[in-house]
Amino acid sequence: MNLSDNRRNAIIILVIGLLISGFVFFYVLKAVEQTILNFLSLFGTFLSLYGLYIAYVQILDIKRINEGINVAVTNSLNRINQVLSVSELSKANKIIQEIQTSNLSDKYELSLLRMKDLKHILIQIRSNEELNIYTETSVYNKNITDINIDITNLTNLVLGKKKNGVNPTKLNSNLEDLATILSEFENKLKFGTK
Amino acid sequence: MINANIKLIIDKLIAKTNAGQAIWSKTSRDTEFKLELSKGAITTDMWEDEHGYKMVDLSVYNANGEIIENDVFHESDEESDFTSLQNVYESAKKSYYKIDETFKTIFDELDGEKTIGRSKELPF
Repeated sequence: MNLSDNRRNAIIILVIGLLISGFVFFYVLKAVEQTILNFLSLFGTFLSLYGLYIAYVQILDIKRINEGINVAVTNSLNRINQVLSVSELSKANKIIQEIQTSNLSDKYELSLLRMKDLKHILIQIRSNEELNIYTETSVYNKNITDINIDITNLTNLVLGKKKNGVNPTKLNSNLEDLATILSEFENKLKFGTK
Repeated sequence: MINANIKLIIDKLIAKTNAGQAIWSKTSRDTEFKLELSKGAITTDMWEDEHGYKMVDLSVYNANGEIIENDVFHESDEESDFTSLQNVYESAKKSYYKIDETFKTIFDELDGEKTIGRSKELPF
């Protein structure tokens, strides 16, 4: 029921109530009982009940408006979260491209720094409820594990530890797999595809 | 010294791998092999130090990809520890490269009656 319905109902009830009260006063009461006091008593009772009805309708309206506001705020927050997530996913894909370029140029220090940023974003994405059905999968966890293994290998390489060889082609291939998954997530958020 | 849990993991890993029920893959290091689990992963690697001595390791990663256990042994360390990890590594390597299956196929072909090898025939 919307506000105009409530107003219409209130007017109808007022008119009907006044008619009934008038009918009772003029046709049901005897002539001797048709005094100012009885008139005020009859119409006063009706108007009191009518006032209670109006108050009840107002409370219902306020409640409905509040619920509407809550839904709108929740929808807006979800939408803002979606936009932020899309932006994070785009950023992650950009970082992947940077890492791949750094790997090909043997700039492993830079690559390592950006890999850590990427890992942070991947863990953040896991907190997005919209993407839970996709991120709570073994494939996504596998990618996080892969990133960590690659970070360990790159750290060993950068620190010049004894175990220090990495295959940049394999590194980039792992990142490319991840980029594909992140692009899919991005499209799912942007276009709501399942 | 390998702790009891890792010793148990090693025994189970070798058994599972030798039974052909563990699928190993390569990491970004050419000599490192990885076994993905539902909640984490295990990696094993073997390399040589600057003096040419072998080193072997086994790392266990949790679901967040963090290392929760890393054992590294040098060829000169206690023999049983090094050998245990080396056995895991060799099993993983054999499984990844399908070494046993390949040799079996080669032996089967060599023992068979059929002529093996291909001549450079034109396809028409």
